[in-house]
Amino acid sequence: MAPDQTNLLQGTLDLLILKTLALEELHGLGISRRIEQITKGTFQVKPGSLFPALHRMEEAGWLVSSWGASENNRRAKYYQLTKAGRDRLGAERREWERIATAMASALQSS
Amino acid sequence: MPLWPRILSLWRNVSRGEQVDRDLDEELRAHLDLLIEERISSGMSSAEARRAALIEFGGVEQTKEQVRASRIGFLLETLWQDLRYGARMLAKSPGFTATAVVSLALGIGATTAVFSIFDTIFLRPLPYPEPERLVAVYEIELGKPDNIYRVSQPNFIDWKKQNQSFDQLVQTLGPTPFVISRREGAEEVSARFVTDGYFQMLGARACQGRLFVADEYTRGRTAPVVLSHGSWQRLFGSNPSIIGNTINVNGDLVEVVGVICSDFQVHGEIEIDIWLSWNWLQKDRKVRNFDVIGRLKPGISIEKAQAEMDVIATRLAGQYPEQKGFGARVQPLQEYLYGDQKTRFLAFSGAVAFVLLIACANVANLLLARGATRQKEMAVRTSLGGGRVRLVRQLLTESIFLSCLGTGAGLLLAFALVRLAVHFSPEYAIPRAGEIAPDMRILGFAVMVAFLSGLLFGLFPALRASKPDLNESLKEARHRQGARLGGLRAQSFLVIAQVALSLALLTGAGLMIHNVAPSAYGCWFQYRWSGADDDRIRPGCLPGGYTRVQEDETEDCAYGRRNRGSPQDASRSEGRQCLELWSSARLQFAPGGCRDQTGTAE
Repeated sequence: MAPDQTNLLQGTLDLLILKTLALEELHGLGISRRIEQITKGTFQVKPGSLFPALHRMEEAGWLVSSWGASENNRRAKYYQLTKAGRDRLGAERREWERIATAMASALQSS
Repeated sequence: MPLWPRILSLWRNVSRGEQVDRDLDEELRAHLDLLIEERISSGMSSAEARRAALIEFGGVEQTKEQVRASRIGFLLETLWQDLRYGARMLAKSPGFTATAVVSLALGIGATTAVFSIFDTIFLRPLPYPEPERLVAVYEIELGKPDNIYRVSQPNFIDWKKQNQSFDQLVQTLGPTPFVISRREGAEEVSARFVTDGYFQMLGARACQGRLFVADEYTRGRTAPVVLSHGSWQRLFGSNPSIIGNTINVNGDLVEVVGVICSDFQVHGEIEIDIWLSWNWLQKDRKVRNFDVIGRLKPGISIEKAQAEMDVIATRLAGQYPEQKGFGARVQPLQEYLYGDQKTRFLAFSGAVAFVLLIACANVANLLLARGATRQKEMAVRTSLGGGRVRLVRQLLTESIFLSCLGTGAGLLLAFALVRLAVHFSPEYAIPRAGEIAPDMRILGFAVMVAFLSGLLFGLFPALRASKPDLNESLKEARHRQGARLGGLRAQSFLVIAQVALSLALLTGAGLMIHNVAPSAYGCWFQYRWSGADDDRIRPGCLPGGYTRVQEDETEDCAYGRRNRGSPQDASRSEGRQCLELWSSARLQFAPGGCRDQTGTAE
């Protein structure tokens, strides 16, 4: 990983994946490109961490997957958010905002 | 977290693992293809694009491994792998496996057998309704709390009248040898006298006829009799017409009113053949011959009952000179009946725990020796990327697997041992023998023992074997020497431990035989060795408080001269003999042990 890329915090990846999939269903590469795009290149998700996370989240019932055709007609596995996944996104977002606010105010004081 | 999707996924991973893997393969390949295409469309040549894509991907196999490791049931899967592998390894060296399994089976079998006996006697509640409220009450000599006595009838009557703590208080006498005479001949049986409430308190029911009714406890001399299920079968061929008829007991014709159900367990250690209602009055306060058991009122604690009994005993001591220096003690019935055997069984448990330890050391030694020969295998695994934790886990799985085999065999052995112990032990040496039966707790105990012993004898060899010196181990020639040096030290340690444990065990066992045998073999040894000179209660002894007037009989009784055969026969008939004298010859009560007929309880 290049030095200017930020290491993903534990738990951040889940939130990012959920957020990405909230808009539309995507395949693995699509998810990782979208994350790069929306974080302006700060986070680059390698397959080595992406796929375990996807499979784990699928097992938890937050995502469902299905085979489909990609933009240029290749077979690819698409992931979609479930109802439980949407709930999870809401919960994680609130949790993240709580922490972010807390951290921000902690750093501002001094 | 929702549980249901996880269970479904677990099921999918376990049942269709291959398809899940194929699916993953395909998904990753598709991902790689997409990456390559991305590069090509940005103007790279296909070879270049492939290279760049592979670099960005960063290891297809590793990714697969990571996904697999994150799956639910991953642990289960590797466990299954380890188990299969372990089974193959064990099957490959049958000599090692057999030795280890047999050692473990012996250790675990013996431990489990003793635990099941211990559990039945001391941990399982007595087989009566609300057993936690059952107590024994007896007399003690003040200032000498170890001198405990049975209870005289006048005291019992006073206790019963004056107490507020007990729902019921009954006195009982026995077991006493009686003789039932039939046309076929005379038969010795053991009898117990009981007072009103005894059967009710212990939840006994009659399966033929009835138990005693209230006025049969107060009527004259020819009290009726209740048969045990066993004696009804043995002596009367389960003939129902015996109910209501008379039989000859000690020369008197008495009516059989009923047969007690076979599920009734007698209290105390000795099987009872007939019950008689106690309807005499023994007026002498010095004759402390009765067992008194009671049921506490709900909500009354032992301490509360004890406090009340202290007051009553003090009052009686002031009233009657015979009671001077005597108090009363209330004790849970289970503790009273079997408490004094506890030490013996604890010592016994300790001894078998040693056997188990020795077995574990033995197996650990075997595993160590095997670990040395597997050094190379471990080195290869490590160099292929097997983590130490993973290797230790695999080796531990193997040893726990081994101990499970040992436990299986041990459980079978344990059942056999319990049966043998009950069958061959001197009569009454193992209380509640009839109740000893396998149950879930014993199974749980065995599983725990298996797991712990697996850890115990597997951990050290596993830690050692999983840390091979790669360079040395891979070089076959030098590997031998290195492994031998390291292994030797650990092995000699284990051998030393084994010898030390065995020695301790042998010494302990020797001492135990010396100490336990007398009480196990009953009164015979005790009377000979301890010189019974008063009527204190002795663990495992029949109440030997009756003597005949004639001198010669007393002699016989004291030294068991009439006994022939093995010591256990001796103990049995000796105890019975002493009592028989009383029952067969219309004796007057005379307190005192067999040997010393004049000894009174003062």
